[in-house]
Amino acid sequence: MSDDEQTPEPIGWIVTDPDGNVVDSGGVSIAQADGKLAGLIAEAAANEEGEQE
Amino acid sequence: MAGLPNTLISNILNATTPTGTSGAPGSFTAFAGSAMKVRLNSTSSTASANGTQITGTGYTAGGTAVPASSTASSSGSNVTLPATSALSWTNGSGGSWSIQSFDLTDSAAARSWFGDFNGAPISIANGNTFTIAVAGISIGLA
Repeated sequence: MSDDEQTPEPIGWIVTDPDGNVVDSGGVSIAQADGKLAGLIAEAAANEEGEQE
Repeated sequence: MAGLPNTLISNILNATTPTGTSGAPGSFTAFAGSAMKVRLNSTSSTASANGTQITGTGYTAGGTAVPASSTASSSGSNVTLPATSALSWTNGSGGSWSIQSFDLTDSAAARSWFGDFNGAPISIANGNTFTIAVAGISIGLA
């Protein structure tokens, strides 16, 4: 593989017509605790590290 | 926007902090024991509410059950779904579907996770089929 080649993004979803032709597609959809809970977990981890020092 | 509904955030926090009797961990409210479902919405879900569910022939209100068990998380890895086989819906509503987000729920409609589809909104013309590929949804905490 050359440096210019990139690994294609995994397919997460497709839309097909009645003949089975792909008319649209998209990558993997992600649900992640990137808000309140992630912040709380990071804070708890930081506190734990502080206590160990 | 993606993540956890407020109900599950509180459920996790209460079960992992001394909110129970005499400072014991609080109890975790378990989800229903049957196969979980993927629900499709025309609007984004939020931490406080589901999105607006799509309607019409080809879609059953409440969503579709996943076909198999996902590989369990280990060392903090994400969990992906659906496992083994894809989930598909063929639009027979007579109009277009516009799909924005999904909710993962238990069999009794209690929400666990939600998120917008990559590339949303996705337009599904009447007669066309929307398919979530195997591992097309990835769920993680970090």
